[in-house]
Amino acid sequence: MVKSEGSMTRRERVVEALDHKEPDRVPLSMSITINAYNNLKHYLGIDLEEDLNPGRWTEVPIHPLVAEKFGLDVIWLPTGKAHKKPRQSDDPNKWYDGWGVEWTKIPLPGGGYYNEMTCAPLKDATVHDLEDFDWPDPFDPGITEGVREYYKHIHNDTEFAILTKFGGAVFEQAWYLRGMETFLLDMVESPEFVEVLLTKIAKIQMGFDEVLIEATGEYVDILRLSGEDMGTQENSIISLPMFRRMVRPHLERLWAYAKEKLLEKNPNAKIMLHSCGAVSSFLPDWIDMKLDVLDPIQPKARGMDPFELKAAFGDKLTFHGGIDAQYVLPFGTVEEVRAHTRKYIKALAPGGGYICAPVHNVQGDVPPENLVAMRDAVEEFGYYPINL
Amino acid sequence: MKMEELVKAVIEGNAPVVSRLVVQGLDEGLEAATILSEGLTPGMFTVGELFQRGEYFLPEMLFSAKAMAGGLEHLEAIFSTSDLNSLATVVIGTVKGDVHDIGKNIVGMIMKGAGFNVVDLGVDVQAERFVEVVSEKNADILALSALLSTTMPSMRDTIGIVAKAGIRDRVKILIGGAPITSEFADEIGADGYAEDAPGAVNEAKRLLKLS
Repeated sequence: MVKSEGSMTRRERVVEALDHKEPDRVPLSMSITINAYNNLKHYLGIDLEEDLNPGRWTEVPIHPLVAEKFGLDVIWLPTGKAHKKPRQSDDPNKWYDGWGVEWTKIPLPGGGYYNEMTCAPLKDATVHDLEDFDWPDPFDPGITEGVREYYKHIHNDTEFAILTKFGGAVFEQAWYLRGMETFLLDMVESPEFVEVLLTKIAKIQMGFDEVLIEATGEYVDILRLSGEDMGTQENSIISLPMFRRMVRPHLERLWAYAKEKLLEKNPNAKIMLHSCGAVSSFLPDWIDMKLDVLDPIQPKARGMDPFELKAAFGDKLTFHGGIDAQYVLPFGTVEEVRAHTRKYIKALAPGGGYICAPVHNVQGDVPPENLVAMRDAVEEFGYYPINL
Repeated sequence: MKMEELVKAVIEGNAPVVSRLVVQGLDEGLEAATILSEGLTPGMFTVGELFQRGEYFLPEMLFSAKAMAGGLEHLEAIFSTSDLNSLATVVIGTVKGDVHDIGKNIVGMIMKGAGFNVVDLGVDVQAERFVEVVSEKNADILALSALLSTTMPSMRDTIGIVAKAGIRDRVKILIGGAPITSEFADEIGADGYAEDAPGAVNEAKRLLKLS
């Protein structure tokens, strides 16, 4: 049954879509970097003082007032920070994350900055060094501090569906720690090192999932398992056989654990993988690994045609994303944003199973007008039944 | 030393064998330039083809490139000035504001394997630095990389500054990186664009009218 406009809360809309049913309209989701967020608030005329603490990727949580005014249905919530302070840098532009990876604030040509990884702490490590490494502790009390109360507040006092990330990537975290070239060479040269490293990382990520799902699970609608990028613009980073042999077993255990624990808390919750690039050849495996939601369906990557993906996998996967960040959002006209959003709604929305969103944390070069055009296109074309 | 064995060892990424065969070839009196053009280069050319066909992925390509680079080190040690002058020179780097270097590194490696003299300026390179080194090395190709949409404008700026320096007609400019398209290359006045590393070699050869 198609419900009439206004009869669903934002969260109900998302839950229906995740359940492969047609809600009143396609839900909208978004994550954003600090520069773009400030631009958007200014554009929307929102005068709201916030103490913004950007995450590793320069992303900031969107305040519920901003999310409401802009028209998001999904809100991305952060978690706590470990009490144990990470290694400190003498350089005010450099800092270390909880894994010991060095990051640097790099000024951008158009103004603002972007956090970039600049030193991989395990670059020269041996298997033996992995034992002694200063790994993050998921059981640090800071990780869950205040988190349950905040999630409960958002759940009870707003209509938003909650999207969050606890334990994150395994494969991608490995190359943060090792350096990407070194890690990819390891996969050919030192499979035993890769096995030990991925086992270590997966165990820690499982710890984060354990404590945070315990604290908040009943309020979480979508648990993002990662940024686990496995695609380049043209193909997967590694071959499917290599994925199956060296990576899949680790992810499969971690995903199964997270999903089972989450479903005990909220039977409607879903697990989502974020994996950029041309990853279509991996989708049957990920579905077999009980994945519910795939993000971001990168439009300019090879083999990621939304009509083909919907036809092949739409009954198994919900798609989250689709709105291009490599051309359309930063450089496209308002009309191009509208046409692009329409196309993704046409391709992915029929039958439910689509949450419209930019494919990446919105960057500072995206004009607020284009974000509003995306939102307006969802309003214009996203009401069910979809007749485009 | 059998050249086909060297080609095969590069394709397989067998670094010890590549190194041994290159040294053996030199001991047998083969010219360094011959070992490069008939051994290492055809090996990496096949690796590039396997990558473009989707049979090799990044780990396998990096593995072969590392083996090739090991062999090349033996040759570079004895390359004469005339050998170097006979190679086309590529100056490569990521543009100002962009520190993502794996794509740029792979292009650099594959270009070396294809017999180019590659001068890698690293990441976050000021336009003025590109101008300085292109002039100093009398470079044939300037290869610019950007991963982020936010750093793409640096490519346009760099080309502008190369033109301002009066050396634009002396060097071909090749651009690449995830968000880059041939339309963008045309728009900012680059000479060429490639979507991957083997493509960059082909494009560089096309621009320089090399076979």
